[in-house]
Amino acid sequence: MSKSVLAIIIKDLKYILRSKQLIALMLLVPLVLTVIMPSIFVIAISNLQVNMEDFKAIIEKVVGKENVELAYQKQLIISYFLNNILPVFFMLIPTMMSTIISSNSFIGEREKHTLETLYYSPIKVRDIFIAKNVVSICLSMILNFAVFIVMTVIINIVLLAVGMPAFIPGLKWLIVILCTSLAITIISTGIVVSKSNKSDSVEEAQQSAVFIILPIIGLVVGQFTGFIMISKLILAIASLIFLIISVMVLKLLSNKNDYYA
Amino acid sequence: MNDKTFAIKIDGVTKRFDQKVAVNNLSLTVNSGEIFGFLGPNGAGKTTLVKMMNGILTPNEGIISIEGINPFEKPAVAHRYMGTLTETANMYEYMTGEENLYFYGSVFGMDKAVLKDRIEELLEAVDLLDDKDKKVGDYSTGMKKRLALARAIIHYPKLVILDEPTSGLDPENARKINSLIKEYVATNNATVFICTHQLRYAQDICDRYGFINKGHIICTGTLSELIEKNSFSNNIHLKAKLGCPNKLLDQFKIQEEIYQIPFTDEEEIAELIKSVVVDGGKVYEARLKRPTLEDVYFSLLNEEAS
Ligand SMILES: Nc1ncnc2c1ncn2[C@@H]1O[C@H](COP(=O)(O)OP(=O)(O)O)[C@@H](O)[C@H]1O
Ligand SMILES: [Mg+2]
Repeated sequence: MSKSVLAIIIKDLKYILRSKQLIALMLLVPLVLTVIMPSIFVIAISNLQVNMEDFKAIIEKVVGKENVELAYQKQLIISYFLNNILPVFFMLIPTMMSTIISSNSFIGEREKHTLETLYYSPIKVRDIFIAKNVVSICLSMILNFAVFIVMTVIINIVLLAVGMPAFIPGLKWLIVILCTSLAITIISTGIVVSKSNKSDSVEEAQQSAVFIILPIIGLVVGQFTGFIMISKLILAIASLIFLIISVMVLKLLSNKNDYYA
Repeated sequence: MNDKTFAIKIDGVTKRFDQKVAVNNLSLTVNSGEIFGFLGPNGAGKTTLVKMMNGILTPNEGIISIEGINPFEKPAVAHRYMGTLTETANMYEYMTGEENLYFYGSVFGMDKAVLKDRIEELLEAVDLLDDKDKKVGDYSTGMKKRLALARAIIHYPKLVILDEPTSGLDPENARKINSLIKEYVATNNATVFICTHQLRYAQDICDRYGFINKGHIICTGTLSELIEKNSFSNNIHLKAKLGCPNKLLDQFKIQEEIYQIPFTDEEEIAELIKSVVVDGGKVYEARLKRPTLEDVYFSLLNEEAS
């Protein structure tokens, strides 16, 4: 990596980490989604006193067991929620974060006319593109991981408090956090950064991320209704393919060398 | 390929935006070591040419060579040798002046140790040493321009391209910018290409000029070449009370007792004054008036229009 690229990466990282509002904005929704909501869910379920016939059908589909008793039922529901629905949020979070970061770092520079100044320096457009992507991808992944850690700690405290077995993230989680999230981050960053060459504003580029968010929301709904059941193997293979595709797309996008003047 | 003797060589360049022709079959050379003034009214195509020289816009036709490098093929290489200041290229408002210079210096691949001294030197030169820790967002227009100039020359470019460096500045700031440019050229043996429509500031520092209007070159040369090429004559400005009617003087009367007479040879002036005095007249004032850049510019532009 050239000195120029490194200088831009450091400048952008400093800028984003310096703007507390941006960081707060990026962390607020994920923390609500993955820490507060699940905690409430766990507490609510553990206090529930009735049979949950509707959920039972879904659980039976997953674990293949019939006639489970209430306490065990509750554990199954919570575990189902934690291991099948929560991971999908971790596909949503990096999309959101990378969209915010990349649109701020790239379109922000264009709108404030600092991009033109960068164009006059001895750095290829492609390298500026790469720098912007590296910042967005790295920071999204770090924040994503931070949210994951906070979530794991808090949920375990809550589980302990209500007397439920601890939550230990398994292989599926590992795949989601390391592979699926990364693929999604790469593709959404790439799209937003290259979209910023055509669209006029931060908002417009951010809207383009809808193409990624929609299928993920479909996945969330699917998980809730028990419509789509993804096994570890399928998840791993699909994520890997997705990752390869996203890297290829990014490579393709970065080959466009036009100045967006 | 002897393009290297020229700092800039532009050959038959045309740039169209949709239907509009911004630069029209323009050819121009700028010699190494000179300060070249590129003068023309707003919308003449100056900025468009600057962007093409940087390889940021691609011409529809024609070739540009910067220090022997084609800026469209190798913009990143060309930018090592050139420093460009334009009206729309901003610096980071949330950073201080010093932080900005530090960042751009690193983008130019300069070493930390070298950069530290260079920034100190530049801040002193552009008179921003006291304001180096202020955010650029709080800088005045003049301070921003001076900082931008420091940025443009931070990497000791052989060629400095300045697009309207004095626009929007008060006379004092404009003078400061001009003396900085002069000093840089003198100490670094650099070439400067200045686009402007402010003729006075141009005349202060430029060695040679190119006039552009509606995308094409009207005329190029040093001031005296321009005057000669367009047969402008020097004038004698005379304030005199005539003893008796003088046919020659009456022809050039511009006001009561004021005459402006073109001449080619200084002997003519001596003869003229002598004749007035001999005829019993009085000469209160006789002043040589050479055509200014402004005179040449407007007369050429008007000629274009008609
Ligand atoms: N990106 C653009 N799209 C369309 N027209 C443009 C664009 N840039 C410049 N022009 C037009 O080209 C002409 C030359 O503009 P410019 O080079 O900025 O002139 P100058 O810098 O001499 O004032 C103007 O008429 C301007 O409207
Ligand atoms: Mg202009």
